[in-house]
Amino acid sequence: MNKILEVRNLSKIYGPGCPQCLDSTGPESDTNLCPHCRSVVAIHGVSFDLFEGEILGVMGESGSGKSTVVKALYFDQAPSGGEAIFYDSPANAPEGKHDKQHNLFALNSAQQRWLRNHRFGMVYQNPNLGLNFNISAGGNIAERLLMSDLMDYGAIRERAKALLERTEVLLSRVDDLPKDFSGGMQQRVQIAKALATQPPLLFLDEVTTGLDLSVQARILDLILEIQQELKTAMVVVTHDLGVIRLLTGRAIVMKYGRVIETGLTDQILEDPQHAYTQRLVASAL
Amino acid sequence: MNAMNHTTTAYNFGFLDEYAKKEVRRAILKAIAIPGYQVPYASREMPMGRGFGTGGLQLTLSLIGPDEVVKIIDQGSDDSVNAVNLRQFIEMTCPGISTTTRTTECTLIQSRHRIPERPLTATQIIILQVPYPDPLVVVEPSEDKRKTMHGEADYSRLLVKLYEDIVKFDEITISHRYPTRINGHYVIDPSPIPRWDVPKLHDSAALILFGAGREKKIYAVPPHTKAEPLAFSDVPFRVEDFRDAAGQRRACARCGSKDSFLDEFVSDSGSKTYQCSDSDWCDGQLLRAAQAQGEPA
Amino acid sequence: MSYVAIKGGGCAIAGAAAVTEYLRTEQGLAGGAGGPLQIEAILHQLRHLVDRVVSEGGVYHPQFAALAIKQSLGDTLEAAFALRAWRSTRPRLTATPPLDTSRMRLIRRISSAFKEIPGGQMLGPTQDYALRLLRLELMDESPEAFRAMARTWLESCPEARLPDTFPKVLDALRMEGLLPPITATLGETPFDITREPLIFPVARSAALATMSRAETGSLLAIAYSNMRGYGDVHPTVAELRVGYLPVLLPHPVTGELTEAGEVLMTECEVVAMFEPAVAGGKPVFTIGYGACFGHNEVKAISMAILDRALQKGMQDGPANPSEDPEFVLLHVDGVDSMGFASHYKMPHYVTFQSDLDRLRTTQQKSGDLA
Repeated sequence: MNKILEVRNLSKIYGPGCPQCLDSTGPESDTNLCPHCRSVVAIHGVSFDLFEGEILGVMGESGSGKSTVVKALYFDQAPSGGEAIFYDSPANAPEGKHDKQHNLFALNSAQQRWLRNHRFGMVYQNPNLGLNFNISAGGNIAERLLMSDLMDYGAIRERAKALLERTEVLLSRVDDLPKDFSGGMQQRVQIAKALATQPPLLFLDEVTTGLDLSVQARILDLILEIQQELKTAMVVVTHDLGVIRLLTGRAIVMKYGRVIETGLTDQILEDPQHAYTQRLVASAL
Repeated sequence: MNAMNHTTTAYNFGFLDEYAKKEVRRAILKAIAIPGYQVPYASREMPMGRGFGTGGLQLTLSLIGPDEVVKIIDQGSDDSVNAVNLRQFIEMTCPGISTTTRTTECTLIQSRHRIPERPLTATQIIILQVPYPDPLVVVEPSEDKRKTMHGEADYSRLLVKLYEDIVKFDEITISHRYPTRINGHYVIDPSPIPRWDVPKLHDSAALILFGAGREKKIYAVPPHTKAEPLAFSDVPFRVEDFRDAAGQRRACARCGSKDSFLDEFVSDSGSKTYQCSDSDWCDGQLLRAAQAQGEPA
Repeated sequence: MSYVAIKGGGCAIAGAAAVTEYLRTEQGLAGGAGGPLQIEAILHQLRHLVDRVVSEGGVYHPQFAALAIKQSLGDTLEAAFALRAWRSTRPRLTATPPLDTSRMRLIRRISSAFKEIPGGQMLGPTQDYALRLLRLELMDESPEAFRAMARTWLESCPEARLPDTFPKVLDALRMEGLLPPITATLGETPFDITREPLIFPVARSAALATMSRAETGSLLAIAYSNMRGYGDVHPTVAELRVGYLPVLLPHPVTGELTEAGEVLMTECEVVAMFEPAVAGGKPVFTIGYGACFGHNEVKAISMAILDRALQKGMQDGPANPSEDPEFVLLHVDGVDSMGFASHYKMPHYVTFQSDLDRLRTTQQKSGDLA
């Protein structure tokens, strides 16, 4: 299997930072707030690999830094340090538009935007972040297609409809505003939008949190189907062990900004090594 | 008359001090070098209201020389109140220059809302007055963010607006200020000219300058530069339709022209007549018709 | 057939100017009783109007401000505008060094932070505590009574020698370590808004200069939004001072700083909620600064509050409109905003024709569908 993403020593510190920040925070210190300079060490030393078509889980409680990881990779927030290499598959990338290998944080903002629009997709917990509520569901998908220079109205419309159909949004609602949709439907539109450019890499940040259980199950099914059909690699961020169990093959566990355990999902859930993971798994039973 | 003299002698040729004119000219050069890019400049207060053409006027006064022949238009007409006002001011502060209403005779045109029907030449410069320089303002209120979007040629949100228009109305509803991409990168607000005038920006022989006084920006479409109105490949850009119910192109009630932008007039009885918006064009058509019939003009 | 509707613009403009001028001089008809308004009378009796116009016009020229008030029939927006347009014709020849406002020749100075301040509180001319009752006796004031009033006040005024400088209230707080240290280095060139466009993010000096010549009502409205809930500056007026500030310029020959004149100014410094400590420091108060030409206290206070709000917005991101530099600074200029509001009165025939075309086409299309 080919590697699609390689993350090394990713870190993000909010605040001025000081020489004692790293030693004074993390799971041992039981905080991510530096007592010396009041900076928040949101993540530090996060490293992992992701392979084509694979789903990797990032789990942890709120404040563990798990969302910060995907926000940094999707260029929503610039990290304070670390490196990430995206290995684009030449088969998927449009002619002349790929370097094959992108050192994500060394790119300029235009290059980052290009990758974001063409090669990555993101589904946020809060649909407000992923969707423009003032334009129609179809318009939201059109926006992403227009970013990748598709300029034929008819073709854009057909593609938007096909995507909404694939994500099981009623076609009669293609021209309605997402703010009038239910939470589950909003997530489906977000997924359709993220998939519009057929990206090889998708980030999912707590996508089922706050939805009814039956709605959750159908969204998770949809994500699995898409992964099987399109072979999209995904990083799934969640605090929900059920989501981790259902979707992911491998997982990393985070606490106070650091990775404390990493391995095959089955292994982590059946035989957790770290005391914190053991408590997490036990509490979910 | 004495009072008038008292007022005028206090001012430099072209009203602005020479430092200010130089600064404006530097901004113009930059604008020409980067077609469609909005160059910020320290717009001066002019003695007429912001929104009345103070940006265009600063360009005119910075470029004007003693042997300039200037034409001022508003709504296509040389005689509308604002055009008269600007012309009088230029005549007052630039002694020695001449003014004209004839498109063929002028070297410098300052215009609001129209580009003359007669194609301009390489020896002419047209300056358009601009209320809103940034086409992205409809989708992004922050100037800081818009600057990045322009830099990256990120116009997808503007294009989505066109998409939504077609979804809702089966038409692109932008009537004037039609967003136009210059030289394949920057999208400009071409000032509130009607769509009818947008094709005149493309490959123009004359230099086209845009001045936004209140918003403090100058931009340019240099001669023979590509200017493409934003549209979809299967939903093309369309100019105003002047056909009547029977599909016949309406003619100007005065000169009979069938290839000019028309103003609509409603009479007291409610009936409508149409006339050329460009008054010099209309006069020219009449003159030509008269000459063709061998009558004195 | 004549060209419709837009002929005769020149005549109409001349007529409009003439009738406006008639309104200005109309009083002359009444048996010669009404004479022209004297510039001196405006300077003295309508001094707050002059103060407002020099401040919003951004030029300290009280005589021309009075003239502008006279010719605009008392419209402050128009008067400030005329002053600014005049300024456009004048080159910038030199700039003063930063002037020390502790050297102001004060006419008024108060602090709401302390009962006693070094140098003392000085109420000076203020209407703050006046009862806003109409003084009907002024309806028909006789010249004799008018003259007697001034003379009596002057004669009864005790001789007192005021010191040349008054210490700043903020200096005392700074000595105690309650304020952030001064970080800006002396000699840093302030942003000149008359020569450079605002490109965001802007320096604090650009924000201060923009607010200093802002339209008073606009500034007050946005500052008020911050005071009453769309913001949380909660200021205390450490010091408000009004007085004549000596203007120093380098002597053309010797280069030595020489007093070239003085300008009447209002300055306000507010102290606001304190900030958590940055690394290695203690929490301190934050400061807002306001200053403008003329005696305009409400404007100086509004500016100080907005200065504080904008600093907060620049640091943490704006949480409300008054903390957003673009929102505040691009919407407070009287010349810009009044000009644009007025421009809607100009003809928009062409654009409206174009609007009609779009509406008719879409109406027709929806008719076809129905």
